[in-house]
Amino acid sequence: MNDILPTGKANYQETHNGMCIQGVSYSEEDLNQSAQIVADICFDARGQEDFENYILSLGDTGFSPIKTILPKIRDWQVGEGFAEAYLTAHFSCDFPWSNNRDLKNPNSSLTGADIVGFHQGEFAFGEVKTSAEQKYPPQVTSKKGDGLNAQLKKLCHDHDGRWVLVQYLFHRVKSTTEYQKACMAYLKNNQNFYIFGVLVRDVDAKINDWDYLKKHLEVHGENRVSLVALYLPKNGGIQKLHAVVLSKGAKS
Amino acid sequence: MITHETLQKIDTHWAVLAVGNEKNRQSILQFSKAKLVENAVGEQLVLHLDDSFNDEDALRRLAMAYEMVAIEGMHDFINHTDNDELQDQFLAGSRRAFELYRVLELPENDELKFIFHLLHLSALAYCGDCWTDLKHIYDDFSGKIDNLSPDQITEWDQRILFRLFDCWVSLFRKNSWQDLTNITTAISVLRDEQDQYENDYLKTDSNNESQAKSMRLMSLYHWAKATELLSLYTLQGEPADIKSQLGRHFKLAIKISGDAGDAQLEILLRWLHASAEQMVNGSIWWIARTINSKATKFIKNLTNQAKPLLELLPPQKIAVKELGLLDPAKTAIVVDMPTSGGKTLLAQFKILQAVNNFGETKGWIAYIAPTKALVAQITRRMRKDFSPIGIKVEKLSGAIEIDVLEEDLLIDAESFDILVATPEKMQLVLRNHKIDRPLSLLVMDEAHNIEDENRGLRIELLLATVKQHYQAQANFLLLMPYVGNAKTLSRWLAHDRDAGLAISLSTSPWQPNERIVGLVKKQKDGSDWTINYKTLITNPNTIHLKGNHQVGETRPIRVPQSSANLSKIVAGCGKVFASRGTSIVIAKTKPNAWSLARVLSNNMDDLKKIPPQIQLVQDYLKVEVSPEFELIEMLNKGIGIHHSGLSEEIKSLMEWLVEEEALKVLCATTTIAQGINFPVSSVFLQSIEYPYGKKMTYREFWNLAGRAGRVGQDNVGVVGIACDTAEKERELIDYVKESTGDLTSRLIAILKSLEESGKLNDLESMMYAPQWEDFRCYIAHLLNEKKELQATLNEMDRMLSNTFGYSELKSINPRLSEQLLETTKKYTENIAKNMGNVARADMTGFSVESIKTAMKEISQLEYKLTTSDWMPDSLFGSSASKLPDLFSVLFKIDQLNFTHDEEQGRKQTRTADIAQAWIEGETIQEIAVRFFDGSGSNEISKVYKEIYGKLANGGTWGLSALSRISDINFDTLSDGDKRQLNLMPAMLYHGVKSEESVLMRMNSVPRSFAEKLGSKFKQEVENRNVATARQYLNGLEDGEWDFVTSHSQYLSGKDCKKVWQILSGEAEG
Repeated sequence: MNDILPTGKANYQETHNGMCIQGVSYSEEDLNQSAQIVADICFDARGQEDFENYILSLGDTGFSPIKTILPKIRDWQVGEGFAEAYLTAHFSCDFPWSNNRDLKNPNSSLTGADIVGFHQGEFAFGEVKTSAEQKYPPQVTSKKGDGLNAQLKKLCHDHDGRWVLVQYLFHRVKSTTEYQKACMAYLKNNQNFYIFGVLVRDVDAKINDWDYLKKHLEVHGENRVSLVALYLPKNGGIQKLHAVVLSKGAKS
Repeated sequence: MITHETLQKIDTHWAVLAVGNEKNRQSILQFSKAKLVENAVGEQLVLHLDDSFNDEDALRRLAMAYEMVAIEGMHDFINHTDNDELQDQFLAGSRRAFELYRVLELPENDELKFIFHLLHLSALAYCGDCWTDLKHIYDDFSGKIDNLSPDQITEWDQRILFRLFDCWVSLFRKNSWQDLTNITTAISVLRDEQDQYENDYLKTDSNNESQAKSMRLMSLYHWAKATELLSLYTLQGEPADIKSQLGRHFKLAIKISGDAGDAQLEILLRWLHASAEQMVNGSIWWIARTINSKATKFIKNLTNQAKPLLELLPPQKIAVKELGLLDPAKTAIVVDMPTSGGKTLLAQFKILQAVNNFGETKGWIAYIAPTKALVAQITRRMRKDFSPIGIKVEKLSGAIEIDVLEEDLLIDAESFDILVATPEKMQLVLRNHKIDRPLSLLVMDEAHNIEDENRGLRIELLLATVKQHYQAQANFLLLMPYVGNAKTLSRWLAHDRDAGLAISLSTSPWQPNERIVGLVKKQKDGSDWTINYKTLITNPNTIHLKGNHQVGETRPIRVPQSSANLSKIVAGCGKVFASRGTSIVIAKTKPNAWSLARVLSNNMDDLKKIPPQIQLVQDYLKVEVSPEFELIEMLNKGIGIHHSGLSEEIKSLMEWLVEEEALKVLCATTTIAQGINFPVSSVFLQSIEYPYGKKMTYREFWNLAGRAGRVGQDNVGVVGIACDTAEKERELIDYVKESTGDLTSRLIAILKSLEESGKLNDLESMMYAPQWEDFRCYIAHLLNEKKELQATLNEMDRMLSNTFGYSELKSINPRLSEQLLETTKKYTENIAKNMGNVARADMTGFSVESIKTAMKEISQLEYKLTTSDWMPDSLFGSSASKLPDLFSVLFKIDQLNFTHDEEQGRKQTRTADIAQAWIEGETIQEIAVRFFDGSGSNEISKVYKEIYGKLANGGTWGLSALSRISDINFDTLSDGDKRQLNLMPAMLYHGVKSEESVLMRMNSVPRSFAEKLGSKFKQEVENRNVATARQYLNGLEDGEWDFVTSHSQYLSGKDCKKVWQILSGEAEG
């Protein structure tokens, strides 16, 4: 089995107001080829064990244990895994710690970014949205609060938020050289970073998906924001990916 | 620990170098300082900077770079690894990051951002050992903080977050015991609310979301528990294994938030964990573990005060934890610490350690402070802190004689554990072996006075005396600011080389606050004028902002440009800066200080509401001085006066008003530099010279400048020196650049100046000059102790080696030390011819030469003095008093230092008459009118100068000494007569005429009420001494105080009691 996500088929590519926009579509065969890579990113046996231990640890805080059910891997997480695999393979990005253990808290304004890592010697931050909606552009790009536009805008312009992510990364990186290089570039000029906005869709590839962002997103620097739409086979591609990923399980 | 070296080192860290080139970074730092100053004093000082750099983004990046430096060492710091270098890097990086972040605007419009930002900033301050700079930030945003109430929030995670924010604000600012106690309640409330809010919060369509939310809550619960533990430890010093418990909860909170992808919470928790470590490190309870159970009680007491003391200042922490202040093997410790660094608390720890070692021996501790005001202040502080734990503190009066009541005190082994006195007084006690108990510890405050031209030698010889007689058991603790050679001093005093310890922190990076020091000059503005402020480059590296800045508005004092002299300039500065806290304005002379106060009075409005503290002092002044006393009116505007032309009590009350933040401007003279021990916001000097043209030493200047800025309140202290000519400007520019340098012995300084003037060959006769007086007294003392000439000569070298000067001289200039030894021996041989005089000298503190003069003068009186002539009734009450003649004798004794003036002719009679009037209870106003033809401020100043400058010093000392060397046969006197005779100087000192009134005065009762209260005390209490008098005063009801003050129209009993409490340091209630 291939370790690298298939290249897919390039559907469109353009630059607009400093943003590099592209769309890539995948066949069912591509999905099958990707399943293990994405599964490795998504599955987390230890995470589940930890979670149970965390609940037990509340015993000496004086608070009562929390009653909650452990979730299963969800569609959007599979999408996020696919996006990470794509960026790693084709954008020479590196995500230095396994992102799968990071659960998302969609309603919290304090969360970090979906993706934090390195690209071309600089920091890279990214947000991923998975949508099976038929409309172009899908609402996930424009939704107030946690839509892709709002999240990318925050990443582009919120120094403090980004600085938190830089620190967050520090506590996880293995290669200090890569980190130092990116950090130095960032400290030299805090516009020295890359942003990735990734849409995972299971509809026909159309550049209209980016209409809202093209109109509204103000980027922090020329050619430093990449918007990538990954089109899985239409009519249920996301669910299919979900199914194949679940069937693979994590590499032991 | 943060040192200049670690700070320098991190300046070359890769993250810092990434921000820009050296010049760039310097511009950023300069910009941040300018912003700091602007934020702090922008209303008073309009900055016109030469450098226009204002890149806020670059400033932010540099702050981040230093934070990155810190983060690299964070793991090592929290986990106490062996890598000290990384731990220091963490502390230094945090400090620099805080210094930059603090000038950036806080995100006030977004509540969550505000919470995270403020907690992050606070954590950096804590980790960078600059938490004292936080208080003013909290003050600035107190409104915003108070509005962030969790009560209206129903979203459970935010409700917890807001509540925890509240708790951490309390932990960081430590305003009151109550605030901290509330933390436990707050966490309990959260536990109670869990049931109510948690389910709703976790209800969601998505399991993933629910899990993420659960994790967020779990992280917050662990954080809450850690918060509760930390608050308990801060308050009670428990649990003992606090660090491991904190570690467990923080680590879980961090891990869980990290796993939940909650980057912001995770990063904040990491910083808070490090701050919690720092808080425990600096906690006063951590110290308790090192001393003893008394210390635990002492600390409990400190933490329970209205303004609780829960944490050590960074230099205190370093002194105790890292530099070995409490190491029992160190017998001589010299602490060199910046002004306002908290030396007194260190002394208190050392005292507790010594008390613990008393065992069965009933040891005692000598605490020496340079001025009467400081003796009073230290006594108040020690008594307040130590009385509750059964450690007894007494002070001796400033009179250089030991009266009968003090004798009673000194011989009673139960009466005190700590004795506070001036060097002169303590010398008398120690040389005459007045206390028959082992001296355990000698604490000398402001010990840099060792180099003082007038008193330095005396102080050095006092230490030599202790070395000579008490070294076997006594330890030394010397406290001083800005001294380069603390190590040399500690070695001199120690038993052996290894037993000395120097704790040098004056030049450490921690300072109580940032400071600007500059020139204030008149700037002509057409026909008008403004005040120009120019910062200077100084040796201690205060903030320098190149440019010509303007103080206040045009014409800050309402006089035309031509009249705007130096005095108006400093008055103008005082007025402008008064809006941010008390300013001290320093004049060259007492009349100058008064006229400055008048200028200010004419240019400042009355306070909108007179604070009760000012009213109390005004009423006191009406009674003790005069209802027309000019200062009373000035106080309406918040203007105070502090100089030697006022009583010690008035000066103490002025200091109290400053501490209470009731005064706007305090007008003082340069002499305040020697005794000031209270912080103010700004200091402006008309001149750096003393009245007789001598310049302040660099150390004195920096000690004074160091008072500018109150720890935890002003982030920038302001110092200004007035200047009117280009020549003076050049002189001042150089002056502030000079380093304070090493402390040198006066003995060496005197010899050096003789050498320079070519008089060293004539050392034998030079030794009779006034500057050698203290040295000669010391030699007489050594001889009197040995009783035998040859034995003294044989041991002279060893005995002289106990002095700092001689011991230094032996190594740096053996030839000169040899010469000094020989000359000293010759002098000893000379005085040994009359051992009676030697004994008299040692007993009285006079030199042998003064004894000779006194005896000669007494013998030349036309009559022979009888015992009854010496009795207070006769001396102070009768028309046949011999007092005028006795003063004529005293005036001839140079050692008593009665300054000569043009009124010499009528002076001796007048001095005697004033003494009589003073003891008879005449008011200051009455004395002024009678003897100085008026009752204006200048006349009042003259009265006080006469009383405190002459009668209380040379007068009491001289009369006491004369009575002892006259022909009175003490053995034939009745006990009552002996007591009366011995009481005479105390009466003169305190201005009262009975033993009981003296006891009242010794306990700080205002003079106007001392007689009445004294006689009430006599009627009601049989066993009368200093301690029972104090007990009696403490037990008096308001009604009884009313009875005592019934004759006064200005001060009620309750007010009188309050004044007494302030002056005596007795706690209310």
